[in-house]
Amino acid sequence: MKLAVVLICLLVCSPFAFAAEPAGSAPGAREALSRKSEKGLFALELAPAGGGLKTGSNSIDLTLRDKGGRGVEGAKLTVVPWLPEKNHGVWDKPVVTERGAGKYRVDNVALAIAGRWELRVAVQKEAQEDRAVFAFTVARKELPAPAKADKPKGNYKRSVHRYVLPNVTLLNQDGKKVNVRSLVDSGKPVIVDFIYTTCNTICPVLSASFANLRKELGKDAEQVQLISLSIDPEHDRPEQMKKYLSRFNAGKGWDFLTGSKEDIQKVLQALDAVVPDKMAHEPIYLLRGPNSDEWVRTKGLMRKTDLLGELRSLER
Amino acid sequence: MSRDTTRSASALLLTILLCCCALPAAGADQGTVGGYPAAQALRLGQAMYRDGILPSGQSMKATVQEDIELDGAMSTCANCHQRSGMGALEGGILSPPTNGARLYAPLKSPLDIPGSIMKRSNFKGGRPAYNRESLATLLRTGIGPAGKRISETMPLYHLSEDEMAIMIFYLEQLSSELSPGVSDDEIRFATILAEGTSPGDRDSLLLPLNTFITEVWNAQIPARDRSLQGAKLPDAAKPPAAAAYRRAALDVWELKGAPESWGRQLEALYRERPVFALLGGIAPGKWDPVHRFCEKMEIPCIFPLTDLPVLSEKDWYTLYFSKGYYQEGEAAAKYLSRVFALPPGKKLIQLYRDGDQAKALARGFGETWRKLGDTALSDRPVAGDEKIDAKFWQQLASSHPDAVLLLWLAPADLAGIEALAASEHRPSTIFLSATLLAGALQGVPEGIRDLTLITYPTRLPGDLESGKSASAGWASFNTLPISNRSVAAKSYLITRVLARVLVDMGASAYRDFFLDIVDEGKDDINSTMLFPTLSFGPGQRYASKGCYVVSVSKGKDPQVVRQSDWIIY
Repeated sequence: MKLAVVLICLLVCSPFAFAAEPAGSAPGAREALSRKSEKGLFALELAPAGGGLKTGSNSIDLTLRDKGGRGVEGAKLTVVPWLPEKNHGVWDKPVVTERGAGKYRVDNVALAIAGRWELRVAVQKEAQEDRAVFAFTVARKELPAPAKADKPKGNYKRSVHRYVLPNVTLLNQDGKKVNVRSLVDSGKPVIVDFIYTTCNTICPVLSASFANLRKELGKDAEQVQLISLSIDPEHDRPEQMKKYLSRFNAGKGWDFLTGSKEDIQKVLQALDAVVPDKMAHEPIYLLRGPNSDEWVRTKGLMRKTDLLGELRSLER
Repeated sequence: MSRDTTRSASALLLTILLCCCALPAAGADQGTVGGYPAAQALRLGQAMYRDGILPSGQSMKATVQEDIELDGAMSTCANCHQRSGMGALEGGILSPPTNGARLYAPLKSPLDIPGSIMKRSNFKGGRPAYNRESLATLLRTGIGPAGKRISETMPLYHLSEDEMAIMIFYLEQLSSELSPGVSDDEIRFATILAEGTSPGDRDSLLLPLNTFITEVWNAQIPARDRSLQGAKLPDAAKPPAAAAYRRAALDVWELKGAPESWGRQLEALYRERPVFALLGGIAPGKWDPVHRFCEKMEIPCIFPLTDLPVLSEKDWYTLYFSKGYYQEGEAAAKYLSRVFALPPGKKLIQLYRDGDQAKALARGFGETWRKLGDTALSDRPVAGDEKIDAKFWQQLASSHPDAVLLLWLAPADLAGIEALAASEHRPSTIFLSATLLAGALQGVPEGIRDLTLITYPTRLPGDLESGKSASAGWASFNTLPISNRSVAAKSYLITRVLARVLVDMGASAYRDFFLDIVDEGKDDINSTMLFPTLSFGPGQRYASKGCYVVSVSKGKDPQVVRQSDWIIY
């Protein structure tokens, strides 16, 4: 019987776990960017990218120190955003990546609405466990001011960004090693999307759009570098990617890239396209003109005309 | 809706529809649909829905997002709406259900969307019921039954009258009846135990499965109702009433005698008491006969415990843990070609004993190497009675000096292998398989360790104990009196998948929906003690995609040393 009890405990996997989140605000949550953990075992310092938290996806740099002020490596950090006034948390879980010397990056802090949010950080380092609660007033995100005057567009959002790509080598559909920076700096206009070969809904549309764009460009198709980055690198190997591309009549000038999870993650981070789970990804294109340091980012499924228009506007 | 459409209700609905609103083009009165007999029209409709192929054999053509041309090779109905027609949520886009029963009823609330809470919570606005006419209008123009343009992500199809009639005929019968093995209050599963399975393995498989079914799932059905229906949740987050959940039951199907006779045995067992799906299962040899049975009968089989799966890119109904031995061979070939980068002209010799296991490894290596490698690979099968000793190794070394030796052999066959290391013609590299060595890596003779690489298709020793990946659940798992932890761990993983799938499937007990939901599973790094990751995706049928390459250190207390990433590209 004891055995069965242990197994039951093991087997209770919790599809309704969200309903069991603790209610009520944790005491002592004040707006501060650094604080000691509750038992005093650690000191935590947060640095949200952009200075504060906004609605939408946020990234935060977190530094973890021990009592002696030394950076703590190899800790397991769990970050839970919580909105006490509405008594709810978030669907998408934040993703924590260790960066060495006690520094951690917390990505995908996805806050749907404005308000007074808490970030509940649990720290586990070997046998030591502690937690700290930070409070933030989360403002509505201001849309980044577009660099160029926007004409009325189709049903998608457009913004302009500067990204710095990591020096990472990935593998293309032919199994050839491709340096991401060199590919982007090949002197051609570039369009990047994020897909995977067994994707249900949006990838086929994104890829059909690439195929239509190439058809429209005709002989000039090779003068535009299309890059599809796999967000399912475990499954997407050169063989699968090649087969996928052939469904879309791809040819020279369209590369599908995969690589180790870590390398793909680095590229996704640099392009602000991290996804916690491949099925939760978004229809995004990133476009960049040759020798430009500005990227146009579009979100939403687009018409071919709109994508072509964005491409043309890079040349101006 | 407290319960999904029942068999009788959907049959009634279909009868009414067939009588009242048959379009002349459907020609259902004459017993033909779009010019074909009904059974053939169903097959043709299925090819349109699943593969994007028209009855003429041409690709279906469509327009999406107003001006993007789409053809059947690029995307199909099933891509977004799933094989079951129960719809999907991907990239924030909800593809609503497209089976006849749901198309011909209004969508009013999130509860009309089958599937996960996450999927339901993306429901935005309902629609009135379709009929054949408004459905044809939608497929051609994108105008929904309320007279408004629906999402531009739904392609507009260029279909003739006959093609449209076939398409609609197919949608009408899609997921229209609950699958066999399901009654009003019960859903029945079976697991397979073939002759030759040890009692310990049998218990290790059955204990987690039975405990989950009787003491977790069945016991929690009433509690699920009480705790959740009363909770202050928005409609979208509410699960369907617990009445939607059926009690589960597990049969054990014992197979005896030659594998050639299993197909007949399976059919007889199925006839006696049909089941909805197969869970796990153990057979000492190849899984082929069960795989073929499931494919033919369209019965899902999730995670049989086999290292000799059927390798297919098209088959649908069996989901394996991995490609087994084949995957180890594949990993070794990728490692040598893409990571180790052998010098040009290097010779490779592959040795394997006659037998399914070693042959699967050799095939995995051979097929992969011929695609990637640029040097000659020769096979050297070893007959069942051929003796391998020091002399054998010396001869091998002298006829293939400085070669790479792939030795897909069991520990007993490695006797005298040190002779290789001592030979002046010693090989440059030796590859072994941890599975064929039955995990006894410390048994690799000291003399050859510095030449030897080993495929290792599971977590490394100590990996789980590192603290990072060990959950409390797994820690207590280790204390259970289970004779085969590997078998029990796999069985436990099945119960975790099942727990999620049964909840999300709710009352809509269609086999294709079951697999659609399994495929939606998140890649879970803690999903098993055996594999560092298992990952899922629509149509992906081998969940573990990796295999380490390791070496063994010298000395009295040899350690396993990782030489590669889990995934070798």
